[in-house]
Amino acid sequence: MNWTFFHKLGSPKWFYDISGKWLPWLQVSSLVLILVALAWGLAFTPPDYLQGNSYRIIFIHVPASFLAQSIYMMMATAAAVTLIWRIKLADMALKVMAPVGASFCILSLVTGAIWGQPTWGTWWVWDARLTSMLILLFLYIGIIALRGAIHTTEAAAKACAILSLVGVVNIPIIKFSVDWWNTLHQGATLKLTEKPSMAPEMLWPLLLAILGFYLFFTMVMVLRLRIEIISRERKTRWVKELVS
Amino acid sequence: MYFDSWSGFLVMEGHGLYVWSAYTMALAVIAYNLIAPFMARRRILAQLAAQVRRQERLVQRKVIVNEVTTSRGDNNENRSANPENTQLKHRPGRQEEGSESVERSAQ
Repeated sequence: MNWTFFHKLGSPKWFYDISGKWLPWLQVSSLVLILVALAWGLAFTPPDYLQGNSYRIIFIHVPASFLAQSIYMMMATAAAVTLIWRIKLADMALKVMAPVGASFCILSLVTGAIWGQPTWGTWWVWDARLTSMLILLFLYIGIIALRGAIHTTEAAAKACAILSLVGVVNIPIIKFSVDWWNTLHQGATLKLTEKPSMAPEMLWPLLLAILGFYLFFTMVMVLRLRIEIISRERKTRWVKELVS
Repeated sequence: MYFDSWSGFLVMEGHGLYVWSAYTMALAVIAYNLIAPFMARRRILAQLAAQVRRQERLVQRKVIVNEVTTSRGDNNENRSANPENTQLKHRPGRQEEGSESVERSAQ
């Protein structure tokens, strides 16, 4: 098997060059998808027979929650790559993903609270799903703070990678919390193994919104990663030529 | 379009406040994620430009100092033995010369 692509992936300059070509496509497609999906969900889908119009929050809440967990999984993967192969780019990715993941985790928690008030009659309960999601936010904040507290880049990379890997234990807890415990939170709407229980006119905008949010995250991550590359490689000649 | 009128769209049968505040929050998070990288980019580029300028100044300064020290001739054996040290340090016997070269190099 040809492994050159793996070494290329580890090269910050290669990534910087190629990602510049991806960016315009990512920007246009993500923003168009999100706009279409949210307008569709807000104005064109019928209301839920049980929850009325408040269910329209699902078109934000579900993509944001998916993203908050997926970003954490990606950070853990980057952490493993950092520890095993010592690829610098993986640590940069780990660093730039943390604030984005935290922002979507906050969005998930806040929209969930707003949705909870008309549906359950309360903003917050300490049930398994909500609590484990709050722990995910604390993990994000912990990783950001840990990096800020350590000044040597290599030591910070190692510490953040270890914390990210330890925190992965929380992800299956979030996922299965609605099955393991008797929670107020409803069960999963979308499952890979079964036919979705949602009506197609509600399902389509939801799937579009999820895709749009993922593309948006990819775009933001690429933007941030490019900045991080310039910042960390500032002593190399190609960055100096780029700046001047 | 599911709703008949704009007011119906805004009120959403009593759930309007919840739905719209959730969507506003989403807008805020999206805006943050778009604005933060651009701010960071501006900050880093300014830092790097300052770094490049500083290095250029340093190089220029070295050139001036070298010109000064070489044009003065080789009346001091210490200098040729240890060229880095002699330029900015004041040595007994040639104090005025030394301070002069520092002044010139600062310009």
